[in-house]
Amino acid sequence: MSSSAFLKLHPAIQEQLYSMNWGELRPIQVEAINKIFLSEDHLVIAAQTASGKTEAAFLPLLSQLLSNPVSGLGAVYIGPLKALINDQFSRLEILCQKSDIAVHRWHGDVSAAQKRKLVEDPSGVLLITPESMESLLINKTAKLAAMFGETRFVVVDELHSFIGNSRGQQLLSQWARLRWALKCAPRWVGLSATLGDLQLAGKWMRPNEPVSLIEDLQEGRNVALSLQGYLHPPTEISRNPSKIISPATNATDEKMALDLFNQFKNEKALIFGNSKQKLEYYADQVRRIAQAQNHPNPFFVHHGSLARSEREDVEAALHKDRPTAVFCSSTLEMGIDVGQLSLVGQLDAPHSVNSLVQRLGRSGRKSGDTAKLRVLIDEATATVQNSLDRRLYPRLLQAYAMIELTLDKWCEPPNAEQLDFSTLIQQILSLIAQTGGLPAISVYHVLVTHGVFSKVNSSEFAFLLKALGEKHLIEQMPEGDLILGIDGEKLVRSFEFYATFASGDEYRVVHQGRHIGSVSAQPGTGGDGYLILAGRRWKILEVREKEGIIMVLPAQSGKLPNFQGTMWFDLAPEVVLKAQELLFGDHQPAYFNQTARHMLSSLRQVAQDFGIQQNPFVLEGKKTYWFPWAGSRCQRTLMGMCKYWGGLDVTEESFCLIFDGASPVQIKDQLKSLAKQSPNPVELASLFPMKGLLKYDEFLPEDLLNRQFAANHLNMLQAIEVIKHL
Amino acid sequence: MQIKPREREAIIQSLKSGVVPAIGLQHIQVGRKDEVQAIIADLERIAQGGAAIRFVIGRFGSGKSFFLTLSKLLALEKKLVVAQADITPDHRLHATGGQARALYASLMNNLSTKAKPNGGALSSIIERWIADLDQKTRSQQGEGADLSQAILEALRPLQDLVSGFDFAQVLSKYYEAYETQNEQLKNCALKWLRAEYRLKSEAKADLGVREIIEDSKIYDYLKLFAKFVSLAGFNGLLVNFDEMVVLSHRLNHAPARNNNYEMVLRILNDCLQGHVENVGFLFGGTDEFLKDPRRGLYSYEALATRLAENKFAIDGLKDFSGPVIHLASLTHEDLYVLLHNIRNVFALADTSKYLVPDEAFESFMSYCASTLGAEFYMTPRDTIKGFVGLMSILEQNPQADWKNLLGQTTLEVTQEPEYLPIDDNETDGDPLTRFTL
Repeated sequence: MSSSAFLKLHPAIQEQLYSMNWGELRPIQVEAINKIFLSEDHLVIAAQTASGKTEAAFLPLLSQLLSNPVSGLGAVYIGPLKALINDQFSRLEILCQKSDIAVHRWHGDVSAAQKRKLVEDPSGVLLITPESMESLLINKTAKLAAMFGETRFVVVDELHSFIGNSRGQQLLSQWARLRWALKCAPRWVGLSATLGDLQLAGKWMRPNEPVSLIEDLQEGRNVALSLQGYLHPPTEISRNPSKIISPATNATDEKMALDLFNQFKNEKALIFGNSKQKLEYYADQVRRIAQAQNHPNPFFVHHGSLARSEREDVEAALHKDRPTAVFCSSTLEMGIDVGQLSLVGQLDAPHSVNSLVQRLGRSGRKSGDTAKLRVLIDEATATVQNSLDRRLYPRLLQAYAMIELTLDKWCEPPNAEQLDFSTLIQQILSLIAQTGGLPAISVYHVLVTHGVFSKVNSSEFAFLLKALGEKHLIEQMPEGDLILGIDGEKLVRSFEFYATFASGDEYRVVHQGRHIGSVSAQPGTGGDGYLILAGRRWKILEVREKEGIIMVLPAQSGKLPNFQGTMWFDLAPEVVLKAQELLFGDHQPAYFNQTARHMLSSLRQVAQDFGIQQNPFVLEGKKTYWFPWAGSRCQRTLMGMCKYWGGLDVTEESFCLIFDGASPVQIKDQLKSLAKQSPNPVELASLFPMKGLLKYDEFLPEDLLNRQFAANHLNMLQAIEVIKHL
Repeated sequence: MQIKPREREAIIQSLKSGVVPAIGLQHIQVGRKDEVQAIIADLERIAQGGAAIRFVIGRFGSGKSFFLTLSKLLALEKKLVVAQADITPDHRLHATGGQARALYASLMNNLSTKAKPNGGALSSIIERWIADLDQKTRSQQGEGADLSQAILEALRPLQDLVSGFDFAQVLSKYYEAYETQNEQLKNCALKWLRAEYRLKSEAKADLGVREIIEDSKIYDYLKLFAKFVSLAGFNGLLVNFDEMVVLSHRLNHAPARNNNYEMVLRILNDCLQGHVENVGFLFGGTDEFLKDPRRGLYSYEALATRLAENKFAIDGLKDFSGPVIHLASLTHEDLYVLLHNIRNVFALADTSKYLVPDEAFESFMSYCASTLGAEFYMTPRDTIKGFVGLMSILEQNPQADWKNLLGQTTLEVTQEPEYLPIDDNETDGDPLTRFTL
């Protein structure tokens, strides 16, 4: 280890690396050291998990802090999860053993004494979540200058998990506020396992400033994967569609549980699922099988609703040297070091390619290892009685498309047009709390002109302030300064304020005063839709957003539910186009098992029988199925135009719109005439129910809510483009 | 009345930037005769071993800070020690994170006496006390008298008060340092008295005392300090707190606000019930600070009843028996006299050097009234700033005609300086510049 990069490091760091018996510095580490020492650029370092990204950032960064110390915190590391912070904390403590750089962590589970110590004598490196950072900005205002006044580096871990969402906006806004208050301008280092477009990520992190990109050019690891299909018997599913909720099982469930047991019982594995119910259900099933076979149970569950001690037990089990398989939600998706995994499981279609890549990255972390992934998809056997969309096995198709895109090394880019008034509200209140009060124009400059909400113009901003005033969240002093109103004070001082995401966004489903259960909402639908809950079908009478209640009536209709009981994720256009390509192609994926292959040929046959490729409009009986082959936002826009402006009876599925009682010609004519009237997406948005999806949306005036919905969930330009080609 | 050039400079510079001059206030002070009389009576009561408390209430820019500074000068004349500090979110009466200690530290750094009217008088107060005691003891006991014994004797009255023992111990440490010319020990004692020790262990190591002045004890130490200054030959202590509106409107944490109000109530009760001696408190704040039913002093029920206005004090009738002083707007005549005084200051009271004739006052005032509207009478700060600006230009450009200049004078409504936007150029024409909810 005598490369020129190594020699740039501070002697104390060099010594530490010697004592840890480090081999050669990896190429990304060499490159990062050179970039940090020889340029002033910000950095984005993209490499696979366990490729030494953290060290790539911190070796040069700690060296610089050692040779050129600052008062207060030299570097602030921001991570998306507590568990990840704990993990990185121990790694950094080791790196700093031979130097006197202090390493601190700060999140909900860190003791008050440790926090006090840091606030009184801030130095070294701080590891923190955006939520805890928010709390610092509000509650330790007097200490901010001493803590962050000279901070030289901000390191954002799992950068991709912040891009294009509320938490990312919050993170950037916090540093815009600090920059304004303290005139500090640290260098940024973003770390990411996978990124679709590195340029975009750099631009998102530091717009208009030079960002160097460092990409791990090492050979990608081998990926071994299998997609296992399961078909439920057709009769059973129609009688009892919500089998997950009821304890009753069928033979297919048992087969799937047995496969899970046999395939995962001797592995070190994570099995990801999209809903907590499903995780619990299968964990219970495999536990029973283990019991019946007198086999020690290696299966655990890990998700956000479990207590911290439970989760920590599971994390500890993963570090032990014996087979352990954990049914988990996205809480373990990030780069927490859970030891070397031999296998990753995915129940159901992943909700995005990003997420799939991230999950895949958890397996085979040693370089040279093969990453192993098993995707398990279960669908009800479709017969001629089923509607066309069901017969295309959309979840299998979605999983297939996402796996293929992963193999193509594509993943979703951030939504650059995102409008986030909800997080802006949080930041307005937080900034006012931080300063004790300031004029409207200063709030605007800090958060918008010099901040991250650049999509908001000053009249929208003034409108928003007035709305906050009406809700008693803010008040104005006689000389003009905005201060927190009485209700604003309460909100800001509540523990939930720090997070941009709502903790429990569930709706209670009520029939004649009786609580049936809870579901999470999907955007923009449901006003007159259907849902399945407690094994029965319900027609939605009314959605009371403020109270979080959905009023329902028992339904006879055979229509499919609009609620899924899980978080909703929009499909990117690329995913839908890939699905289309695969549907009409004849590619035979080697990684499909027999049932999956059977499902694939069946759905291709259905597509061919109905001639979907030749004509995306399929008339069957009174129903017209339209496959616009567009992303969710565009498809939702088309749906809204037909439904709210055209007065057509239409529902939305993953890849198609289903019209009841309208012919293809009627639909096309309707859309063409609508497209001619220069349709306004905000006006269309105003007709959608259930638009309050983000945490502080309840405080938004209707007009701003519509603008936000139009920007985030509709795509009028693309819709017009689709209509042009009809 | 003769005006010193030093006073002239201080007055002009201060008024130009909208702050209260530290000296020479008597040259420009107008109106509010009854209010001033009430304060003078308060000061006399303090000097005679009593206590006083006043809430000086007026609009933003109506002259609260001016009035507090005037009270300070009057107090200094009456041989009182004056401590003055602004309330900020980080300097408050009650806190648990060091903000109360910070307020106390700020008071101790802003101690004024007649000899040291601009603050920083702490060590001179102590040394004056030691010198007096020294002289007294020697004259009674002759040379070689044991002064350290005399000091403990002299400080005995303090020990009846809460925390009096530690306070007396630190003062005797100061004496020890004074005798042995131990600058370091002296600084430690001062540091302790200024509440700048954060850790008890440090104070113990440096001074051998077990306690420090903590958040929860600042009122006890203010009482002790008042007692001490009267032992040191002063007539008492006046404590001025300005910007109380920070507690009501900018401290956006309801429990913290109520804790501060509880502290105000404690002080109010002590002063009104005669539990404290040789001390007075002035709190400067806006109407909203006092009366806002959700967050002002009135939101704290016990304070609301004690501070309620005399129902008969309406239509200009005044009642100074209660603790609240409402600073009424200056009258037209008051403003006229004020402008007159400012002209007089510019000319150093030499009538031959007046920069403008009397008729300029009327013109200027009607110009202001038309530009600022009702604000004109309510916030003299901006009017005065404009007038001082006009006078400065006339002084530097003797050929200029005041009538022409009047049309070009710009009157700006003051903004809080620390929160100005990053770049002023960007604010032009923005709907948010003059935003109202």
